[in-house]
Amino acid sequence: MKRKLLDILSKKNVKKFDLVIERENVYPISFEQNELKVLQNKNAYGIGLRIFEGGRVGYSSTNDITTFQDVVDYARESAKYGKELDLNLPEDTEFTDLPIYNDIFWDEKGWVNKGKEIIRKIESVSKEVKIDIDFTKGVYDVELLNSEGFYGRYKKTVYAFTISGFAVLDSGFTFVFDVESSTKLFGDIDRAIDSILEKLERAKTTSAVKSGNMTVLFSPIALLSFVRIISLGLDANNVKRGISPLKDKIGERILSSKLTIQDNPYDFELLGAKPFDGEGVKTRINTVIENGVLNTYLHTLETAKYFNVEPTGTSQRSYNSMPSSGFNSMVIKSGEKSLEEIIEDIDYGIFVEEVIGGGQSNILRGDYSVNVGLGFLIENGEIKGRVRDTMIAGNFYDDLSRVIDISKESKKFLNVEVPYIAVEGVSVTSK
Amino acid sequence: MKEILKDSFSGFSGEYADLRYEIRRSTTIVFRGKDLEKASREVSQGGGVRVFNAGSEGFATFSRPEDVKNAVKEAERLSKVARPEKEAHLVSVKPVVADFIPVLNNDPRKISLEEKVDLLRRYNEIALSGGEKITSTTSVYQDEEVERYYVSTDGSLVKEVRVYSGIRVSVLAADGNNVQSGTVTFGDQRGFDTVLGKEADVEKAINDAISLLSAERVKGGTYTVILDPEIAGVFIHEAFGHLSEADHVYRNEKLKEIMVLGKRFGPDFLNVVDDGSLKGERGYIAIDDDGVLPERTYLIKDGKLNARLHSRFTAALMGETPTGNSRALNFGFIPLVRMTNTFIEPQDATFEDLLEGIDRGLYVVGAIGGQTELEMFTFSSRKAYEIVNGKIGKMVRDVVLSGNVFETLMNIDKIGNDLQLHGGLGGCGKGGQMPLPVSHGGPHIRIRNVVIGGAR
Repeated sequence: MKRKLLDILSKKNVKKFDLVIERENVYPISFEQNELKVLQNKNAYGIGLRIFEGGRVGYSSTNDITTFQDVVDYARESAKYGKELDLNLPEDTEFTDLPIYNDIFWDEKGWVNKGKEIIRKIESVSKEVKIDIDFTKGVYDVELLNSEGFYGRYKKTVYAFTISGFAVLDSGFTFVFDVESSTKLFGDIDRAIDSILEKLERAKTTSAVKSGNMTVLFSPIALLSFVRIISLGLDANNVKRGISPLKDKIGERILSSKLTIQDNPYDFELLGAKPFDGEGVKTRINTVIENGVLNTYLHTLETAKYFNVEPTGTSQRSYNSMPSSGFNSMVIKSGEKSLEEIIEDIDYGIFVEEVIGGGQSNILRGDYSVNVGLGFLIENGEIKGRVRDTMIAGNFYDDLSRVIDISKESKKFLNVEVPYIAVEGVSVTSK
Repeated sequence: MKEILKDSFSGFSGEYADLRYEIRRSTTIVFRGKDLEKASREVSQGGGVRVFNAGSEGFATFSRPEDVKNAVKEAERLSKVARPEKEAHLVSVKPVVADFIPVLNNDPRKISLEEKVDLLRRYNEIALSGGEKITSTTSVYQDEEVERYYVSTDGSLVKEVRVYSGIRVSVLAADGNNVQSGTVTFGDQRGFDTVLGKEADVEKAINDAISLLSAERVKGGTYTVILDPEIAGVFIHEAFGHLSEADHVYRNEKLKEIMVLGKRFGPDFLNVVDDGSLKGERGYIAIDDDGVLPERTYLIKDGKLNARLHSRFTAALMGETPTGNSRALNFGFIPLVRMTNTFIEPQDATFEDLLEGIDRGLYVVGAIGGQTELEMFTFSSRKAYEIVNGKIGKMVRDVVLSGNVFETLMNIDKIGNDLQLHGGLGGCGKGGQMPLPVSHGGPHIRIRNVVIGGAR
């Protein structure tokens, strides 16, 4: 395919370009409401072309190679209007293969049986709960090449197990969720099931919480709803546009000194692992925030040029999108105290396991206002019943400067590794 | 294309199969600040085959029409890997053989990229010229033609063309670290006229962004609220629409007890509708992805639960009738039970009637989004105004409403007379399929005892 595309580009006299070719094969096996629902085989490929012509950038994409000639014309047309941009595209670069491709036999019957077994186990403990399960294997093949001689290719596997339970309990409708994922076959499915059962058991009783400012302990799954706030703030393009609250803050303390945040594309359990980014820059470990101090933004080639810094290898791009900057895999470093010890030290507060409505406030500013989908009162160091009709609100940057504890336990899932984080003085409103 | 696809199932001897094939041609134009970041045309095409076998489903995708036979074989194989514990079959429906081609007010496919760029540039320049506080903009134009084919072993053979177009202009204003935004968005299937003449709306977005810079955060608490038609639509979509989707209910005995048809859910004057047959609306479909024609479904009629949204599969399991709500995001996904155009029907109250008798409340305008876990929901507004002694007062920001659907529907105490539907460029998300084009709306409505998060 590569040769054919290069021939067309050469015939059409395209001088400067980069080209991404993606192929994916995804095999989900799904259960819905305690029953087997669907087995799927989904395959797709796509080609994205970016060209630099007349000092401007243009772009188009297709998922049908026979239309690639049109795509070149569309990209050229697009460059007539595109923004003024010229970049030094990476030249031939050496990469080491990363151990992110583990093509294990996908035992469909075996996973169906495993699903049935999990459902029987949960049914034996909780009659009310209805379980949805997905076992998914994905195989991804990414090629990137450009007019300056760069050619890179990597294959990656993704294995994900997600489980969600829904129960109508006396305490109200209850959703519980967990996920295990890795580039290797998913690890501890049993842990996820135990965690679901524990949350369901705890959700059976309710406790009233008094409105006011108090300590809130966020679980890793709850924090997933907030980490996008940090990604947006660190996006160098938002800094360039003057709309990131982190602009002009390099070298300053922006969060609690307890917090260190990295982009780590070399943790192969996290799904953002990769040898080079969407523009061909070799990836690296970026310690973005170290002990609360901002070290760097996350760059594309364009913003690195604008700010006159080294590229960070954090250009994210799929075949049908222009490059944008963001974490490959985001790691919030864990702390020293155990989750149990942290809870013991809280006199009055709530333990937020899951939230409803994340990302729907002014997230650029860092503001949030969410319903506590699943959360529990903590009183005198003990977890009590579930809190209902309760909202928490505030500014995530402010919250992260009032961190009192970070757990030593952390959860690796999707492309994040996140511990439990306790924050004091969070505004809680309850009916 | 119909000719190539119509024999896809010759030789197929299983229980039921269908396929969708789509060719999508889209235009996207994006300005960020003064820069035109992207002005591109893209094509994608592909298909998906679904095979049912005693309630177990196999689904396989393919790229080129000539690969369909292999996909049929693979989907059939997948449907036979295992059987569910309880057998189930689809409700049978009358096959549809038809072509559905839209009539457009000004066909966006016939308008040059240059003209589209010029239009968006004009809106973007108005947005940027809003004063020194305006730091940036994000202006988006998008259109998409979806040429789709549906073939089933029932004998359905359908060609349908959908043409979406829309714009979104977001204005960002900053004062130190305080960044606020104002946004307008329009989008539907009526044609290019939908995006013309929106200069005054862009001006409103500028005013919103600047006014929000000096607005205070709302104080957390319980309020009587008036929702404008846009956020009333998001409320009914999030709070009640999702709960009406039968795939949450069909195997859950406890939820079935709660969702019994005929049970009171709201006051007598509350009627809630989902209607996929409204031509030109963003959520319009000529046919759903089970081969069922859309219809007007009264989810709540005279305050009582009247019906729910079904696919042919959920309708079979619950002994009810399919409603034409089985929809997939595109050819790469299986259909799920989804909404189309969902709204609260208007009643008689004027805006003054709604304000009357509110000592302390909020008038909530425009929607950023919402999320539900069926019983508990949240939805967030673009801006809001205090209501003091029946009068609209100063602007407040960060108003996010939350509640329990059953209580909140019963707390609706007045419904206005000014129905509006909103489409825009976004859509609904479910099961990893987002954004599915939908519209939602209502008239102005008044609700008592709504929890608003915020500092105290």
